[in-house]
Amino acid sequence: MLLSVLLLMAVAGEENPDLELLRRAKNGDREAFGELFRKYEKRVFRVARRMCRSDDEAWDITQDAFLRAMQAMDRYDTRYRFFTWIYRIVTNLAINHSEKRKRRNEVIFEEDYGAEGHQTVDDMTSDIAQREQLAAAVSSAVERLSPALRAVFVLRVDQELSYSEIAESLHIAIGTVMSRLNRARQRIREELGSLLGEWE
Amino acid sequence: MSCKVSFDELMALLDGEVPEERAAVLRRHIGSCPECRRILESQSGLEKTWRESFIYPEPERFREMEEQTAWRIGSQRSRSSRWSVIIPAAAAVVALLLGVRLIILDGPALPSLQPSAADETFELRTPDSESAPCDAADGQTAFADTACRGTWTLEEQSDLIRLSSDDAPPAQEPSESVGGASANASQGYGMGAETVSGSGGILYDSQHSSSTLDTGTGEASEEGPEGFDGLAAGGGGGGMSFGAAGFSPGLGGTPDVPDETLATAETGSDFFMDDGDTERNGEWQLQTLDQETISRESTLLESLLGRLEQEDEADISAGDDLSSPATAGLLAGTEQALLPVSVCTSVTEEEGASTSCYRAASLTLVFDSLGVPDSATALLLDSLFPDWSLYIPFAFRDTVLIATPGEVRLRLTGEPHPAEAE
Repeated sequence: MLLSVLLLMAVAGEENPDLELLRRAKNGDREAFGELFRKYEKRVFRVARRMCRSDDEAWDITQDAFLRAMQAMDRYDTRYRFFTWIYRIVTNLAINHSEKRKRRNEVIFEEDYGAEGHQTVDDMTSDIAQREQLAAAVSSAVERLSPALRAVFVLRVDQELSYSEIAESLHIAIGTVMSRLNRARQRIREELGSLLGEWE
Repeated sequence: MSCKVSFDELMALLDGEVPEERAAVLRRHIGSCPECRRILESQSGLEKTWRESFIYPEPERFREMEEQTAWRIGSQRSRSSRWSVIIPAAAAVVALLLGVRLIILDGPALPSLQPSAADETFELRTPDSESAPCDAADGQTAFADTACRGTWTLEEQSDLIRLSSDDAPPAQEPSESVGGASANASQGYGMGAETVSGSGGILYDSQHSSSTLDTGTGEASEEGPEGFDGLAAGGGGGGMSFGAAGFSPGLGGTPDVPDETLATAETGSDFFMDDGDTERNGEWQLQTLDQETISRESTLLESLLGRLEQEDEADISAGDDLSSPATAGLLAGTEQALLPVSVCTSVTEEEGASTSCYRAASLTLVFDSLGVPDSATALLLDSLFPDWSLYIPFAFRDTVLIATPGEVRLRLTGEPHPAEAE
């Protein structure tokens, strides 16, 4: 029994290069924490930013994600990769934040991004200003997704995680990942309307 | 779509999640199907455009965030280490807490819950001592830092907490400075200890003392009555002062707690700081408090809040599924924790005993120049508003906030308690 546990730990250590850093950070090693933070800060911030509405919110969530990761280190299953774990934390924080905002009845800013005439995505992606407009339109559509759909969409499209990595991060089945992702994409396409051309 | 290839399968192909054999079939189909090709190209284009539109903040911002996060982790570690010291007192305090809470629920008088005879007062001084003081008028207690930024008025509080018999705030005398720290200037506007009857929320009164543990030092004042919750705005020295009413529920002896002062934003930025006696060199210079009193009050507070904190340990911090029943229960518990606390207490005044009920007592929250709460504040927030960090960090720089739990909740979340909303 002990041998199998040690073997599992050894295997996990080989496959999880962050374990040593995590242990040191957990024990109060500032350098280790800094290294860990710098390694994941951009990814965490980016997910947070994609999931929420402002930089300030994203910073708050980023900080909280690292804090909670350190607090909950004892519950971290080392068989999983650290980045999927912290993705899980940051998406849940963002979802939680989003739900709170919804309870506060914040008004969702609506914009008609489908009023650009007959231009299509292909036309727009060749022009910088129009690309920015398209990106803003997509961001707005993503913002209007439910948090659960948004999380899957962000992890797939922005972070380019595989379905299995998303499933691992969010602790959901791959089938759920696929169904949520497709629903998210469909809704975004509907939101963009004429920007996408007459594809249906 | 008129062809037989589904949208879902096209998207899976786009994601590279279709087995190669099937993918080859699909690619052949797409070569001859303009409709599928258009969908794929438009989807690919919009996703690529969106992905590439992301702009990262400046690297310096990340470094600042790293420092802040490290400091907060260090602060939490330091708090945790102190729990081990006060464990022997936990049983007695929990019993006390249960008794208090039971009484609170039932609402009768609490004859044993009286403020300490000695108020502890200390003074906060802001760097900008030349700034014009903020007015405290019309029953409002204002406090402010530079140029009244972040001024909070406590007008609602006047309905909840009885002020002293003096209608007008006493004039603030210029403070004496002694070695960079302020001499005792316990002329805070507000209530005296004898009239603090309603502020007997045991958690909250104790918080005052705990704040002093972390943010400052000082000495117990025998003069007592002028200081509690009094926020003298401005005055000749431009300093802010507030006092912390000692609160002695009569434990019949308190455990020993090492005298300690936690590091602050400046000194604590070395991460995981020790529990040593670190002198604060931040923007606020404080007096030296009587350490025995600090230990007594802080022990009580920490024990009480420790119980709450332990309950919070099981919350969603590990990123559990928010829809799970267990998490839902915890969230419901969180909501419960946000309820204003009704406190009834009995106070013996010169004219005789009286019993008063108050809906809430006040909290004192202290934030440094980075908007980071001191550890006692963080402790309190953790217990009462588990997700406070989602709201606070950048909004309360250089701020001392004294308000009722309901007011704090409103400031944090933008939503009053339902009962208050009505």
